[in-house]
Amino acid sequence: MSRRAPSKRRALLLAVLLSGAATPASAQQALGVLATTCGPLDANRSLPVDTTAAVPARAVVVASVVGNGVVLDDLVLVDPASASYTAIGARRTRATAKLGVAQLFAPVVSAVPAGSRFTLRAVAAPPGTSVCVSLAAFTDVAVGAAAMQSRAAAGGNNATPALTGDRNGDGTPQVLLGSFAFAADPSGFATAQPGIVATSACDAAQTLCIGALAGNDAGGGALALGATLGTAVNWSGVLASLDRDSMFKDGFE
Amino acid sequence: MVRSTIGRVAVVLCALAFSLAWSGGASAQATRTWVSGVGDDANPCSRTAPCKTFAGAISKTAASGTINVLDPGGYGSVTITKSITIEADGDFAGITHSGTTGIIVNALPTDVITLRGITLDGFGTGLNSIRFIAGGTLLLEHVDINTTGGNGILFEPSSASTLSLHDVSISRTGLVSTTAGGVSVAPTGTGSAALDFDDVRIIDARFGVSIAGPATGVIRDSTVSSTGEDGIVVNGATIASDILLDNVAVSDCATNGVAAIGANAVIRINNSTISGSGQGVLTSANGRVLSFGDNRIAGNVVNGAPTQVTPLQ
Repeated sequence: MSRRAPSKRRALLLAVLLSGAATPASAQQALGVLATTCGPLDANRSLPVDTTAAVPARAVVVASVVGNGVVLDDLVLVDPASASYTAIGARRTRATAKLGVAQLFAPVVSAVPAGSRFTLRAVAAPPGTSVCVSLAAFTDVAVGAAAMQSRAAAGGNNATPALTGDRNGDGTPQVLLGSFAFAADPSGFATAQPGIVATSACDAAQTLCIGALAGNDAGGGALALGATLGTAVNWSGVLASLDRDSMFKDGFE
Repeated sequence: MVRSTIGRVAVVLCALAFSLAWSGGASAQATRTWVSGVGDDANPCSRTAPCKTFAGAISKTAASGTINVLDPGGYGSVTITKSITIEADGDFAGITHSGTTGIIVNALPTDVITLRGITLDGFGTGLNSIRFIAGGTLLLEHVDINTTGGNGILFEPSSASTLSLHDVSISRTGLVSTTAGGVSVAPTGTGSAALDFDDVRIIDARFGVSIAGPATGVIRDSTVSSTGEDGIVVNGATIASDILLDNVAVSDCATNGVAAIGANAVIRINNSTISGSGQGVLTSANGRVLSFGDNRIAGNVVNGAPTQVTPLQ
């Protein structure tokens, strides 16, 4: 199903990029893409997602989900650690490309080994509906009501999907999370800024694709994420800016 | 001879005094005036000699007076600086305000402004259909607002003011401005807003209701649907706002149905439905959505959840 299911070599390269090279400023923070895949919902309106990397205990898992904006409702994500996922942001369009996109996150209490199965349920979507899911783990992200500093939701039809948060940064370290739904292959999906990681995948028909971005910011300017594509495509996206968990620690934990 | 001259002078003086008194009476403001599609602003705005526009009539209407609409017509933009009632009971009273603001209210903190039976149309390029800068209370009844580039209603009082909406329809607003939508409440300076919305329908706006600033109140028996952004959003990073939604249906909002952003933002939801949106309930930066446990939050891409459930008492 997944057009770009990551090979072991690619996953290893991505893990290296995400865990260290992409974030040299913070030794504590590790980012990792667990899985990015597309496929049809089964008879139980579910899509299983098998991870290719382990999740350490107390990490935060962020899920990006995209699908048909008309029927993508009541999303529920279940993982082996029975974490309770909270919505961070979502956007839906019913016109033209009919794109729906959502972000959810949860702290994972106990470690989850590679090869574990997460399950996405779209309670109201008909079986066979195509959806895409991307999972990423973060070890230095705060969760809770005060964690989100800025947010954005937007869409368009161009080759430069970009999201700018509704508030500027306040100088504290932030993790920026962007989730995008595309109505066609976002060929050349790459980050517009250095030091940001990206992953993408499309369904078999190439009419629904997902893109996920993550980056860091510690400045006082606009909290923004963007990507560059090879060609213009209909897109819809949401952005969340979350505090880095380490900012709440004093070094004596 | 002398007596005759004195008499003539007296007669002339009396005539002059009478003339001055008469002309003064004619220019005095009436407590009730009329406008008509076939009127003329040169008229005294009486029942039999009505004015052509609201702007023409308001200068001939006393404070706390009433402007009545005699027949269907377009009566133009108007700036209101005093207590006034503009009333069209059963007749279409339109204000077309393409490229400009429909009604500006800039009155005293004790003034009460009532608009009843008015239709405002910005023809896509209008600014705010109604902009409230200062005044005591703005009461809208049976008012239709549609197709404008700015807000349907921009309520930005500089003192403690009340916005009361009853049977108000707002559609296709925020067509040009990216910061405009259906109703935007944003008090300035030491201003604050008390809100009383009843039977308000907002559809196809950039956002439904946006509240940023000191504001309290209730939205009841109303609908917000098909917005390009949030349905109802309260921003309260540093300034408190506390809004109750009672029997409100929020649906088909591209981003959030209901959003409370900031530690001083509170939205209470009772007997309400939030459906068909990107995210049903969003709480961000310690914003709070308090539920009475009798709401229906379903059918959104992600439903979200209230921060707290308060039992019915």
